Amino acid sequence: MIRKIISLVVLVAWVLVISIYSTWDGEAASEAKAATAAEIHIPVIAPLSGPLASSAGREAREGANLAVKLINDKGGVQGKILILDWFDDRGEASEAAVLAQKVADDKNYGVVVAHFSSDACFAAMPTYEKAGMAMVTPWASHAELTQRSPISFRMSASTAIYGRLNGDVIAGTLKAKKAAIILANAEYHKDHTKYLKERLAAKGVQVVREETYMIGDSDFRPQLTNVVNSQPDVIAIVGYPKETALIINQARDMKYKGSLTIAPAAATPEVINLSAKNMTDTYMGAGGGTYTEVLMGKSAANKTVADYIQAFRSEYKKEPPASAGWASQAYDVIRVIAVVMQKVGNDRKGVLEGLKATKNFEAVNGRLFGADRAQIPELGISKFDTTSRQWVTIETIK
Amino acid sequence: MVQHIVNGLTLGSVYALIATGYSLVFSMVGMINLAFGAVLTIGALLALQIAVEYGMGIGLGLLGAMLACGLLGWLTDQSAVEPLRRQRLPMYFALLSTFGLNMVLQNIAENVSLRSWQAEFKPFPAPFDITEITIGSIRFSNLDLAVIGTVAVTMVALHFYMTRTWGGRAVTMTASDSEVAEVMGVNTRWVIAFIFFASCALAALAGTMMGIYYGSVSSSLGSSPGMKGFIASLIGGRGQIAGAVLGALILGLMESLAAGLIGSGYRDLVAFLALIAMFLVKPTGILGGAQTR
Repeated sequence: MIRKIISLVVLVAWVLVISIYSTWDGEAASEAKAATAAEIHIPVIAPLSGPLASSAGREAREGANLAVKLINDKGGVQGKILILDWFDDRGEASEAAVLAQKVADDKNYGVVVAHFSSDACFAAMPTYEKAGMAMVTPWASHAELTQRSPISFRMSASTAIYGRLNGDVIAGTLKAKKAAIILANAEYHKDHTKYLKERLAAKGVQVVREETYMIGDSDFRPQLTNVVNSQPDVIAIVGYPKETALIINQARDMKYKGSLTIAPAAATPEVINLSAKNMTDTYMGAGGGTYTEVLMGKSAANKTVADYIQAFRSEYKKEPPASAGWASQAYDVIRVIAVVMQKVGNDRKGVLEGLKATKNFEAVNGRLFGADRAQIPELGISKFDTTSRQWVTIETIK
Repeated sequence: MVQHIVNGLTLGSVYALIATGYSLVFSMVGMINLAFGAVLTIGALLALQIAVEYGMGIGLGLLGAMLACGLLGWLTDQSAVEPLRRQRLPMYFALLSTFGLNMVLQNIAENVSLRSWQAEFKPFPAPFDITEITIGSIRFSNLDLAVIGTVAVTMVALHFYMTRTWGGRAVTMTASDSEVAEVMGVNTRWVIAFIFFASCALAALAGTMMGIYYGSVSSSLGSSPGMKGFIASLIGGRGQIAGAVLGALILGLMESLAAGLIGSGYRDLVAFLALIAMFLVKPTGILGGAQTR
C-alpha cells in the first residue's frame, strides 16, 4: 500500500514538473492564433529550443519583438496591430520543412521570417515558393540563398563576403604561408570555406589540412591532432559558437601556439565566457567595423544604429549584442516588412513584389537592396583582447 | 596513429562508466535504463552548479551530483520498475517508461540551462592547471591522466566491492538467481534499488568527468555518450561489467581512429557498424556467454 502511494506521488510529481516546464515560458513556440480584423500576423521561425536557442533564438526574439513594439507604438501597419507568431525549428532542416508547410497553408500569413541556418532555408524554400510566399531570413548567409528561389530574401551579408574576408585576415593581416581549416559539415560552413579557400589560393597561402566535424560534437582531438601535426601558421575555425569555443580550448590544450581565426557566427558572449583565456592571437573578419563599434555603444555616427541602441537599452535594460548581430538583423527584417506592408497590406503577392522593389532601406546592418544581400558599408578585422575580453577592431576595409 | 589511440583511450574511459551503469542494471533486472544519457547530463549540470556556481569545489560538486542522481535512479526503480517486477510483467514496459523519463529529463535540462544560464553552455574549469606531457611524438595532458585514472580507480573499487564484500556478493547472487538469493536471506528488492542508485551515480560521475574534460557543460552533453555507452555495453557483453569496460575502450578507440584517419562523420557510423558486426558474430557480446537474462 505504501509503495503504491509512493509510486502515485512520484507519478503526480512528474506530471506537475512536465506541466510547469511546458507552460513556463509565455513566449514559447505557440500555435498561431486566428487573426482578427485589427491584426496582422507574421510567422517567425527560429531556433527557440535546442543548441542554438540560448544565443540565436534569444537574440531573434529580442530584436524582432523590439521592432514590433516600436511599430505598434506608432500605430501599427495600416492601422492594424502587428503580432508575431513564433515557431520553433530548432535550427534543423527537418523541422523547418515541416513548419514551412504549416505556415504556407495558413492563408492569414503574407510573408514568413525564417530560418536561422542555410540548411533550414534550403529545406523550406520549395514549400514557400509553391505557396507564392516570400521568405525573409534575417540570419542565414549562404551565398546562393537568394539565387535559388525568387521568393528568398536575406538581411545577413553573404558567406562569400565573410569567407573572402577570412582569407584576407589569414593572408594579409597574419601573413600566413600555411593554413588549416576546421569546419562543420553543414551548408553555411562549407560555403564559407569555399570562398575562404578561393581567397587563400589567390593569395598563395597553402591549405595544409582541412578537417570536418558534425554539429553537436564535443571532442575535436582527432581532428586537431591531424591539424596540429600539419604545423599550420593559422587554424581557421568555421563553426557555430559552442564548437568554436571547444575547438579553441582543445587546440590550446594541445599547445598549439599559432594564430586562430573564427567566423562571425561564433562571435558571441558565450564563446568569450568559455574560451577567453585561450583566445590569445585570435582574429575575426566581420561586417561592421565601425558598425560593430557603434552597436557596442562607442559611437552614434549613424542615426538608424543609434536609435536601435537606444531602443534596445530602454526595452531590455542592457546593451544590444553586437558582434553576431542576430538581434539587429531580426529587428531590420521586421521593419522592412512593415514598411512594405504599409503600402500593400498582408497580400502574399503584394509583399513579394514590394520586397523585390525595396531599395536603399536604411537598416542597422546596412542597406537592403531588393532580393539580395545587405550591403555592408565597412568590413572590419578584429583581434580579441584577452585583458579587456573584447574584440578590438584593428583594421577597417571600406 | 598512436596519438589517436591515446585520444581514444580517454574517450573510452568515459564510455566505460556509462556502459558499466547499463550492465549493472541489465544484470539485475534484464532491462536497459534508457534514461542514462539524460541522467549524465543532469549530473554534469548539478556538479557544475555546486562546484562552480556555489563555489563549493569539485569534490562536493561530484559528491552532490552522484547522490542526487543516485536518488533519481532509486526513484526510477521504485516508481517505474519495481511495481512491474512485483507483478511479473514483461520488462519492456519498464523500458518504455525509462525512454519517456529520458525525454522528460532531457527537456528539464534544456529548459533549466536556457532559463538559468541564458546560454547554450557553461564553462566547467578543470580543478587544476592543464599541463602537457610529451613522450616522443605522443601528446597527452594531466587531464587525460586524471580522467583515465579516476575511471580506473572507480572500476577497481567496483570490482573490489563486487568480489570482496558481503554487499557485492549479495549483488552477484541476485544477478545470478534472485529467487535463490531470497532464500539465502538477501533482500533482493533493496539490492536492485541499490544497483539503480549506483548506476545513476556512475552516470553522474561520467557526466562530471566529461564536463571537466571538455571544459563545458551543455544540455545536450549526454545524448550521444548515453547511446555510445549502451552500444559499448552490448559489444562487451550484456550484464558483464568487465565486458562493458572492454567494449567501451574498443568503441572509444574505434571512434577516435575513424574520426582521425577517415573523417568525423564516420565516428557514429563506426559505432553502429561495430554493434551490427557483434550481433552477427557473437550476439551476446565479447565476454557474454551463457549467463544471460
